[in-house]
Amino acid sequence: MVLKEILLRNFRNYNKLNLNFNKKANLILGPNGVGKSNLLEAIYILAFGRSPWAATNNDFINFEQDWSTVCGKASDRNIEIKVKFLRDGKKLVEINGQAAKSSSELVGIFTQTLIGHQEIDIVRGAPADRRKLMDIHISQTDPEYLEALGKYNKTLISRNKVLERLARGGVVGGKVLLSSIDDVLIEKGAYLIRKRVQFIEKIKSGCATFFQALSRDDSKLLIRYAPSFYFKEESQIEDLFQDNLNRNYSKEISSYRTLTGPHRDDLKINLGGRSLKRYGSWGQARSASLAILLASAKELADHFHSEPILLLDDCFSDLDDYHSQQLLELAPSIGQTFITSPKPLVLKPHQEGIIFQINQPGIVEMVT
Amino acid sequence: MFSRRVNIPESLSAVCDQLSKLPGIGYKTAYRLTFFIISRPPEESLALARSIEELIGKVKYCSVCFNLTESDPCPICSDKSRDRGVICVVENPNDLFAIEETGEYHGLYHILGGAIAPLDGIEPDQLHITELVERLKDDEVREVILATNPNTEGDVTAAYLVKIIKPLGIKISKIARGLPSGSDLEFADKSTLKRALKGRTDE
Repeated sequence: MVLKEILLRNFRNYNKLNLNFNKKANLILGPNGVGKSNLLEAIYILAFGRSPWAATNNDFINFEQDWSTVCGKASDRNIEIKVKFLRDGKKLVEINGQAAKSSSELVGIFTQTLIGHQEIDIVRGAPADRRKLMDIHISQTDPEYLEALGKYNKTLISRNKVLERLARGGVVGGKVLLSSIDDVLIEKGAYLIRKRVQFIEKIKSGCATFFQALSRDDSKLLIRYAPSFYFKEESQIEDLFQDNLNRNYSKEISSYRTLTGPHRDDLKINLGGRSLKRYGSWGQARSASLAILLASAKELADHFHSEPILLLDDCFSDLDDYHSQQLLELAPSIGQTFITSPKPLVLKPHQEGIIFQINQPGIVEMVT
Repeated sequence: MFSRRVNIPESLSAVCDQLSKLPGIGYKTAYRLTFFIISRPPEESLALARSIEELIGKVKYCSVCFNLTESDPCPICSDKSRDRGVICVVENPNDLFAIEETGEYHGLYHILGGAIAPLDGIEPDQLHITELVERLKDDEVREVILATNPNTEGDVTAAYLVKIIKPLGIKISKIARGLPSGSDLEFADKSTLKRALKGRTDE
């Protein structure tokens, strides 16, 4: 869904800001430290109710104020979202004037893909970053996934706690308790695994296409889901998950850690048959990361038959001119794009878009 | 609780301290409640004190189902007209009251006294599970309905009970989760809606 308008009050360095956006490209330019990323953060909050970066609710509130709001309006269907942060750490979410029970109700409205410093390094980064990519995108298309993920994580912590109690001398009925926890862990975990299989299957061809478009490289980018245990058929997931838990029991009881499950999943990313993480150049890994992220955004677009939002936070600093130009063309072709950059960027004559220039903190000027 | 306690009569701050121990009540609310209590006619406030005393003195847990009751066994357990073949297992007495209010259920109950929560240190032996198993040995019982809460703790508790009860050869069912009535379809959260669609029934 396209974000038509945003209204910020007391948010970070903006006392009062009202901006109208273009449905294709929105470039936010200006030197470091003037508040470009704060705008992306606000847009991200409309989608997830929280910051993409470590920040508490208090951090958003302008120093001299007690509250802060982020309000966003969609151009199609009169959707209006308001998130209010209070000094005492409370957060109030409203969808079309109706109070929402939790910010998870926001997920799936302004669907988004964020491409920032951490995301652009997804190929070389930690497995947790690649799981996060899957989780964020699947959650936006399937609220049940988000719920299953929350329950899975909580059950996992409970399980590790019970392992510790068993190791330290036991719990009454401990083995039965552990296997009950296993039942819940397997039920939620199998759901996550199946959804991840489907997701990777959907973005696979897009990854290869976007990689070629971005990199002038003819080698084929191949992305593969690497679950923590091998299964041939999806119908085997539950049984094999259980087998693995049973097999690892003695190791788990000595480390108080659960060694199998979707929390240990990863993605294998190969270029021309070789592991990109191990053998790829910095530039190739970066192009591959971008390709995977663009394909994920494309999947949001395909799922909802409407444009997702792409947030590109300072991604252009390390890209050469060719890559920059390609990215600048590709992203707005997938959805509504917001780009921050300290360096000047220009849109091609045929491209639709607006440029916002921020030269002094808090003052946004529109350049056309 | 107060930074300058000297100005407050001791008996007043004692009531504040007690009230602030209640769930959902912070010290500001406790303070306000205390002033309200003292500003009312004495007999009204004393009636509150007496009713609390009476509650503690009279209300006990039913020795059969662990419901809150003044008589033991509780009115539900001793009601001969109820179906003694079905036992609905809930976490807390307020869950029982919620189901009773519907008027749809005519079997018996069993209150666990909470849910398994290893992170909060609550393990099966702290709940009334052995008592439940004891009750199920009665041949009269045909079915157990698990009505634990739809959260992680409730799910684990239900899974645990299934493991314990299955070997006894008694039918086990779980309550369905669906849409709350009285709210519009469009305001139902998406995950509930999805589950309600999955669990739809034939007309």
